[in-house]
Amino acid sequence: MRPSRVFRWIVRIFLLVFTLSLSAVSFLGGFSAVTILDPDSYNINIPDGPIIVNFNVSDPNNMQIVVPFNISNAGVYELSNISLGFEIWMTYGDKLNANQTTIVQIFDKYVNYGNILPGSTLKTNFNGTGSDGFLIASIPDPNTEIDWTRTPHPLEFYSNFTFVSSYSLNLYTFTVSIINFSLGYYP
Amino acid sequence: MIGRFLNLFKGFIYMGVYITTTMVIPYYTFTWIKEVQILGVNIVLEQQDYERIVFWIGAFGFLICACAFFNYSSPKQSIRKGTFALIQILLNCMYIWSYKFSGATEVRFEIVFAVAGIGFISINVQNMVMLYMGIYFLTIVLKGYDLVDFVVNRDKIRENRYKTVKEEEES
Amino acid sequence: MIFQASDIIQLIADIVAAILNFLKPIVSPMGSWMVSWIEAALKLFPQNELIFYIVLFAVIVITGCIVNIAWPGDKKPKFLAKKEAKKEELVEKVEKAEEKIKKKSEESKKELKKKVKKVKEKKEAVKEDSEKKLEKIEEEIEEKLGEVEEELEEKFDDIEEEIEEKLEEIEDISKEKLKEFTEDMEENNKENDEKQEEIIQDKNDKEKEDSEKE
Repeated sequence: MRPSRVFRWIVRIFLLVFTLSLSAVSFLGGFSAVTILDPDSYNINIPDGPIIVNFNVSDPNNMQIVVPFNISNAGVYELSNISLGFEIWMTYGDKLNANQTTIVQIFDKYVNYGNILPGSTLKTNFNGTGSDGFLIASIPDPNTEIDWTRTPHPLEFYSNFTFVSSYSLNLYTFTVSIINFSLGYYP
Repeated sequence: MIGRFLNLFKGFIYMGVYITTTMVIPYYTFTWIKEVQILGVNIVLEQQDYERIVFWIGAFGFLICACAFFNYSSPKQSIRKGTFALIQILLNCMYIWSYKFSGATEVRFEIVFAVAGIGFISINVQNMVMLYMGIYFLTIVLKGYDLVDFVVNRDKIRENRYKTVKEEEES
Repeated sequence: MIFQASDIIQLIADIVAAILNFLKPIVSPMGSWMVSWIEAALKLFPQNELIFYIVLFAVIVITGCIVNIAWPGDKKPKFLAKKEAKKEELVEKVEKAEEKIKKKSEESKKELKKKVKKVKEKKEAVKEDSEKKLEKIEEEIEEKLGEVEEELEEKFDDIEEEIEEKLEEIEDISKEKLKEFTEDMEENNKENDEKQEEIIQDKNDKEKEDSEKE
């Protein structure tokens, strides 16, 4: 066989193996995504139970948010570099600004949960207490800055939630972001 | 005489195949996934991204189909066939980049719930892109090598082709 | 069955993962280079003008039709036609040359035959001449041999006579010399005998003297 033919065959075989592998990964990744995201399978549960919150701005050090969740990896590849992030925004009437409705960020935290192997489940809580997550310095003074007569609620809380993960051998990184999700009001 | 029209016919057939695979199917696929439901929530491809993708599907799709026609209607192992095969591969790279990866490594889908946008899903495919483009690089190398081979050995190729045609005519 | 299927799928996924992880470091740098030139090249392509691409499509297809009808690739390549024409020329030349060679060889054969005939005739003539000459020479030799023989015989006879005479002379001389020698020998013997007697006498005399001394 001529060397040129051998070279051609080597490159073609390499390309074939590689293309098939990529196609397989794409297919298996899609298959995994469908399996994980199947609504009937409940593989992703955020939250997985009642969300515990304490938004008493009078005692910022004891403000708390606990979000239980679980993620089951029903796919064939590892879900890697999983991180969960929460931002909480508070809407209030600013006494110092003619009771204008003001929005301030009071919570910002990202947590990295590592990897979930195929067939495994990550069941844990997303916690934020006091200065661990809460931006205490930006919380307005309840006595002098907050208009407690504001209607319908003096304080309203909204969150942005972000979930980031890589799958299919880190070939895809997806980000799911829910914005302006209502967390309730206080008092 | 028959040979040339047979080649042209082959060119048109392949052009039809490429129109289907590079234009029709991707267009309908993208239109379908433009809005999907996951977990009961609508996920919508951002309009700007969608329009950009559809444009490039059309633009490069036309060029690829034209090159495919020229390529497949040319005689075997001819220099023009090799040239247009190489151009087709290069156009394919740009097509893949601009449509499959929408000219960027991040595709963004809006999450719509009850008419209001409540978030987004974005997929970063940078690593996947690198691998796909690596494959295309190797394919380009192979086609380039073929072209050089056709140029260097063109006399022998034309002689063999003539002999084959003669044998077919005699048989 | 489902359990087995998921096992198989997991196995395939693991194999594919191994292949990709091995090949990724080789292919990724090629890919990033590709992305860089593609992004640069895309800037050259007009955006939001689909008509440009449709026109280009039409131009390429029409050009393809014209080119591939005009040059379908089934005609004899020019270089091959030239090659074959040269080949035919060569064949003709070779045939002509062969004919020439044939003619020449026939002519030369005829000439050769004639020459061979002549040579044969000459050979025979020469043979006859030489045989005749040989005979003559033989006769002459025989004659001369006869003469030489006679001469030699005469000479031998003369020599024989001379030898006999000389032998007789030598015999006479030797007889005389022998005689003289014997006479000399006799004289010598006599002298020796006399000497011997003298010596014996002396000896006896000495012995006598010795005995007398004692």
